[in-house]
Amino acid sequence: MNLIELERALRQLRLGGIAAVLETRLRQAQAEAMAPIDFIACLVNDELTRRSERLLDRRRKQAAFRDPDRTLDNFDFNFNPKMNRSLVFDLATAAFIGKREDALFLGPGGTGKSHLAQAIGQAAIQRATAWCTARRTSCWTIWPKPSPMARAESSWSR
Amino acid sequence: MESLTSVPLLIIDDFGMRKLPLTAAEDLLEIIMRRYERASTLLTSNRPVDDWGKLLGDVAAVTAMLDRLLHHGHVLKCGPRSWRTKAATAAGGAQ
Repeated sequence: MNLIELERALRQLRLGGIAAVLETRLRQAQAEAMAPIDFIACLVNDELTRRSERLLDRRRKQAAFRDPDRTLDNFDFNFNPKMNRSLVFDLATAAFIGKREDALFLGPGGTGKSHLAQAIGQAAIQRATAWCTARRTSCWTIWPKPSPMARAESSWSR
Repeated sequence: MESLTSVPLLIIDDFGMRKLPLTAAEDLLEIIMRRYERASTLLTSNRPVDDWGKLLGDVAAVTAMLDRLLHHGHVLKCGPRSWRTKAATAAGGAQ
């Protein structure tokens, strides 16, 4: 098997992450005289990294946040200092999702409810929790049908 | 409906922005009931919970829904200062 055939075979085996870096890693293995186990470990790691990145991407896409840039990092807690910060961070650990608990964010418009809700969603995705979001309760009829992905992900989570 | 019932976290943002038709109230209650103790729901609203009965037009249904949401619910009170009015005031002041 030459390099091209090998890459094709890797893709066939759904190891695209390895296929993408194979040439580079081979060169590295030669240059650094890597032990076979280190070389293989390196490739497996590349595949794992790529898979988890893709999973994260897929979940973010599936969640369809209205403002994907809203995270806890860019929320200004000093603007409303009386807000219960520790509760926000507790929720961001996504432990409440594991316990199947609920959360209610109440307050006047422009006080960061939607920002925080999306930030907690982002945090939950990072905590490897599959999920989905629905914007605006008035848009009842235009909610998308569950995609095969949504079903797969939710069955995975149980 | 299937995915709305089963996703591990459902975010319903800006609940109560508009008055909902009665069928919507029924659907929402159905979703909350099915998700209760099975999956998490995060709901944001700028209306106090006392007004929800009026919004959905069915006080009994809303009471049942709130009972479930609040049973294992974390309530976060946001405010009182608003970003949007602050930005508007700042813009107005600059003119």
